[in-house]
Amino acid sequence: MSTAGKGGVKPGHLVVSGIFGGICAGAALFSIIIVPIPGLPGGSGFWIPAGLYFALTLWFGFWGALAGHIGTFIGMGPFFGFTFQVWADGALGDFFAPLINLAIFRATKADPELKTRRDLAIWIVSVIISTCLASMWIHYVNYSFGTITFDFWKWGVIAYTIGDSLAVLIIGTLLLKTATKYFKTFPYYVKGLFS
Amino acid sequence: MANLPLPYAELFQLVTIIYAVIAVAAVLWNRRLDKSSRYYGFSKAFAIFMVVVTVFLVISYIAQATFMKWI
Repeated sequence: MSTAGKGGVKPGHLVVSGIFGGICAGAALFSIIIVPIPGLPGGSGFWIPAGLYFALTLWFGFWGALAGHIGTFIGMGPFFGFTFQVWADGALGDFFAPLINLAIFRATKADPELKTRRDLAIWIVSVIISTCLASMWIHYVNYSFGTITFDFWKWGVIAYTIGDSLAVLIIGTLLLKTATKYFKTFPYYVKGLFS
Repeated sequence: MANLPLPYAELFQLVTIIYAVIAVAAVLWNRRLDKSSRYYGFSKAFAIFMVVVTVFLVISYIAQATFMKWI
């Protein structure tokens, strides 16, 4: 197997977003183990799709994050009884978080295969940082819209960061360690942001 | 849980079965390919991805079914 080289953006990248977005949608609709906190909509739980789109973003860059965004927007949106603002905001946070993680990976030149301790340490730290920043954003928007109080903002950030980070560190690590070397041979593997 | 075409638990089971079928198809596709094929890497990675997604769907189902007393 040879590793794919860096080329331009191709229509196939959108196909990748579509296919994995569809897969993430099913996972987003069902595979959450919710830890309900009264007064805090959509802010806590073991969010399994997060593990998928963090890995997808390290493999397919922007297109992987877009897949996660499409999946969570469709999957968690109309079905959970949240207002549009809550689920659109959540899906946007799920778009930012893996991109922040990707930016840290690119800046530190870490390898998604996580073969070295350095790569693994960068992965763990970047997941916690990006998840925390996304949760601050998501709950700030919810706070701005009056959906939650500031007291719930704090608990929302803590609960979301713990829940999402755990899911990403368990599922994402498993995926990156087992599948990255194979995805690297795929022509649509992304080495930068878009290609 | 409004707007779902089936009751949540039944739709969950159906989607899990569909994902499992896709995972099995991906594994079989990978086994049929030669290692020199340009699709070998993708099919292997996709099979791993689908197996992991399906396993965690099952875990999620068991967890939700337990919490919501479906089983």
